[in-house]
Amino acid sequence: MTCGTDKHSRKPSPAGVTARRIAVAAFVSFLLLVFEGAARSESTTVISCFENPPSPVRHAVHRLSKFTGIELGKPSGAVRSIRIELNTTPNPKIGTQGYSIRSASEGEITIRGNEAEGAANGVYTFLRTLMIEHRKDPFTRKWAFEEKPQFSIRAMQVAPYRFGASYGFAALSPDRWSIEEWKEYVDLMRLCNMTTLCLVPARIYHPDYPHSWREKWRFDVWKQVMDYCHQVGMKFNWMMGPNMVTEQCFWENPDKRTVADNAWWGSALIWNKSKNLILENNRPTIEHFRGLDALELLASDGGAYFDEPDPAVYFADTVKSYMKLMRDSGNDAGFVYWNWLLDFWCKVATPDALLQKNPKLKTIQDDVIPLLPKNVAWLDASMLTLIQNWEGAMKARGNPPMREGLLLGKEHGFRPIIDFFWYMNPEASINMFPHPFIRRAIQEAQYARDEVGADGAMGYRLAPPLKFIDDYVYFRVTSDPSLTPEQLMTELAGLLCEQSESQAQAKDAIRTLDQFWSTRKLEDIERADKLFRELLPHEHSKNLEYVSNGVTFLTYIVRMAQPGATAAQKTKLKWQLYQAVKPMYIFQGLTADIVWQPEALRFFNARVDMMLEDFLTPLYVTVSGVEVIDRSIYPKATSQPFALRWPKSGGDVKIQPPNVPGVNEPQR
Amino acid sequence: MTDAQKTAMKWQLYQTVKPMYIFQGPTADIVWQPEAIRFFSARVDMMVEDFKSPFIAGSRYPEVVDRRIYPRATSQPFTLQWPKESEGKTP
Repeated sequence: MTCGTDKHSRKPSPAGVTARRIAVAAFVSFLLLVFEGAARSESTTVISCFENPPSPVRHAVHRLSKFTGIELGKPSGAVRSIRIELNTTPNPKIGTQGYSIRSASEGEITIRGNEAEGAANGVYTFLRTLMIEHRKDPFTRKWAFEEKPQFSIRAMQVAPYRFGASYGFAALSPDRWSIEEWKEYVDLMRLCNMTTLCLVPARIYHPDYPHSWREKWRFDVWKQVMDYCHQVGMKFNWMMGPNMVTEQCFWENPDKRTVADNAWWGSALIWNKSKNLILENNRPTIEHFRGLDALELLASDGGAYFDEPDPAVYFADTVKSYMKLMRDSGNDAGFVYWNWLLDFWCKVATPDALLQKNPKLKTIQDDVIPLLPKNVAWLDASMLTLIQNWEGAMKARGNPPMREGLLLGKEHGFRPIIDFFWYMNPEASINMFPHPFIRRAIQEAQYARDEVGADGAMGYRLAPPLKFIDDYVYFRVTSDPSLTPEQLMTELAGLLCEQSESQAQAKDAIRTLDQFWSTRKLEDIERADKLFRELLPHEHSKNLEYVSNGVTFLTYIVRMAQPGATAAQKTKLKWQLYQAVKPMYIFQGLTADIVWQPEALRFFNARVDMMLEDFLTPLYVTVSGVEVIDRSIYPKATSQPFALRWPKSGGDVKIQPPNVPGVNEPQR
Repeated sequence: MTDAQKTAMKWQLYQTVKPMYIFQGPTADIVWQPEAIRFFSARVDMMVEDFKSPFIAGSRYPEVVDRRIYPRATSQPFTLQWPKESEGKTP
């Protein structure tokens, strides 16, 4: 006997030990193979991916695996497989960002792209479709997708700055978001195949200015956001005013401050007096975000250039100077020039007294084009957006013929051309609430596709949490402007609700909410509120909860706005509103950021008054149907001057002329 | 004082304090001036409300407490000796 020994008394020889170990290892290996085979035949499905996929594809595959519960593996031996592959011969129909998803044969689905970017987009479309249809098993439907996103740049600008009734509030405002909250938003963007997150924080951290250290944690979080964007395959841009400095620098240099008291940032210096100081103030930002993908400069808004003797020279010099600053800092980012309705600024928004004083203010649009380097992207809002927002101002200045700024940039050779979807203007207290803009989003996307031939689209958001419906609609139409309202609402209902039986009601709620913004009838918003709220006990979606909470809040604003509502009734409604929203997670900032309740209530009331004022202000008072621009006003996009054909009645809403602080008093 | 006069005064106040270093927060922490003015005005309204509220303006003793009401500290229960309504009221 060699093995039947007393284990306590006999010591086996080394050779015997080795032989036994080999035998045990062989037996264990045999068992593992048997069990693995059995497990494989039981699991039956794997997700396989082409070799050495980059991080964005891996991230997409991991999300797909997590949702479906299907493991990653090799298809050999598997009964069913989802294969993510690169085309060996490029498919010309799908370009770089497109993909095909097909039920290739029984038990095989293929997701193919020409490039990894397209393959990742295909995985996300696959995943999003499964989520909408509440389908964990992808083999229970046929797949036959072949598509590419319409615009190659699909961006959302998020503004964590101090503005609007949402600013500064826990959970609601991105200026208070942790990296986890940012990740959730980036994940939603990525799920919808968006390409770019652009931040416009209007905040500067500079180590030499101690008062700016309060922004350091934000810069640290945003750098993580930039890294996460890159991990999932998105770009990260940074937008700013070119003459902005830290508050401390502003106060230390009284002789260099903008005399014209421009409406933005509150801490801008005059470029021609302090160029180097301004650039040095912004150098740490450029260095901190060295990996950013594009710097975006907005020089024109709010009259921030009125102090410059030759604004076009100023605009062009900021572009060149910041490009140099980036290169000097080892930053290889691209550059986006914001034209931002410059023709409108020259002809309408600038007060006549200033135009008389400095005639160059009239010609900036034409003057700046030859001065700009050609290797910059050109971003502008469209003529439709101008029509939507500044009818009164246009008429007040005699309705001068205007040019489509997007086409102006295009015809002068700038690329890419990016349409800024400012229809979603978040810059007011009322605009933190859900407002789907479904038809307007489709209209703008089709205009950008068919008449402008834009390369990109960019949205704009201050406080995303209540805006899931709005954002999703925008995200989707940037990929496919041909989507119908019905399709969009079906997708939304699927994402908002886990229960199939809830979806019809969710769709009805979205439709009613969308309708409310045209009718502005109390019964519409109350009905939408009821429909959303009834779903909450059966559903678990955070997005549904926040949309519903936002609609509930809005309902009170509309009640207060009813003709004949007395001051006493409004006070009572505000108290009821406070009590109604206090238990809502997303409104914790509005109700409780101020720590003594009577004082919190006063600040809450002040914000509600602003929302009410906004709701009643002409800029937001639309008559029925005005959510979509009447194209008889502007039948076809053109870079040539065109006098808008305003209707004589209907849609002829009095809109306040633009306020230029320091020149005329605010009209609120 | 009419609403229009109050609005005009708030605008004047905003312009007056805007160059003052210590008030940079109330005037310019919000980055778009028309919105900054709205928030500034809301705060000023609260100050006016406080100034006119009984808690501030209604006290008979806003600065020094009349010790006849409570002549000497004691740990024993003591009924405060309030003056008659006609005495010592702050306008």
